[in-house]
Amino acid sequence: MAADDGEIIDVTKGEVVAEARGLVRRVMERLGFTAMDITRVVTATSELARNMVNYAGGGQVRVTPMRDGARTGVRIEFVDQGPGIPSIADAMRDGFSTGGGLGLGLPGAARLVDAFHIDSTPGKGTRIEIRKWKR
Amino acid sequence: MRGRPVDTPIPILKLGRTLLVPIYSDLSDDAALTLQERLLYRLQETGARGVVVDISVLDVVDSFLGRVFSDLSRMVSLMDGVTVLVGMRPQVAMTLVELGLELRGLLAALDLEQGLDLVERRLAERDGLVSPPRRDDAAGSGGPTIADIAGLAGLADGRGGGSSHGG
Repeated sequence: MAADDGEIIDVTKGEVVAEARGLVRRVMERLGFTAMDITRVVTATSELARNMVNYAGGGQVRVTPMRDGARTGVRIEFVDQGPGIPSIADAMRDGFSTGGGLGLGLPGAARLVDAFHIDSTPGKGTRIEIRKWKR
Repeated sequence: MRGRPVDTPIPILKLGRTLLVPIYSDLSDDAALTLQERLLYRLQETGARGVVVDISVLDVVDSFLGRVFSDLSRMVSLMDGVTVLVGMRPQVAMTLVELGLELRGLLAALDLEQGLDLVERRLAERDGLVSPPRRDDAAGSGGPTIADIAGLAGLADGRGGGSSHGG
């Protein structure tokens, strides 16, 4: 994989969620992603960044291009030091609407990306990573 | 679509008895809520009965903005008006449905002209000037709803029920 040259944005309140969208959009446009993929991933970014604001007092969004041989992609990490998610299984249970699971909209966001990884420790924080590859 | 949201307020134009809202950039949370509030005050000031929100420039509508639009529609309805979203892009419609957002009761039209037409038809129905067509459709006359555009006609009746979707 290419060296880590991600761009970071601190999302501390609702207002900054829009900036996180802008950052992801810019990076994906630069990498030549399709409009459909940009919409999907920027939307997922918005949902996940807003979760950090709503439930963890904010967090960090890091956007990093990926290169794997001929493949190009984007990796986005959402890291917070919030209360954590007590039951990831519950959070990922698919209820179709954003009211599914714990209301975090995680299953929905996961549907929009190629890879979705979540790590959470109650009392310590949460890290979510999403990946999308160019077709 | 530019990367950065702008601070200039979204213009609200009046065309007959309808307010037109051309959204020209990605909206921050605050801008979306401010727009919602401004629209309701403009409705009151002008006596307008329709609101047409043009989202053809938007490449992203997330759950927050979706909720703002959905709430706006209900608020406008309480003020005896009708709200129509126009110009939703296919990738936005697809993503909203993939996300699992219901956005019940939100009317949609493909373009501004059809949006204005839909406003007039709905107002005529609401005012009892025409009877609603006999259709098994609780959403009322004409005009596709958000779900229709995304090809899920079965959800368009607003009778709800979360449909389950393969996870």
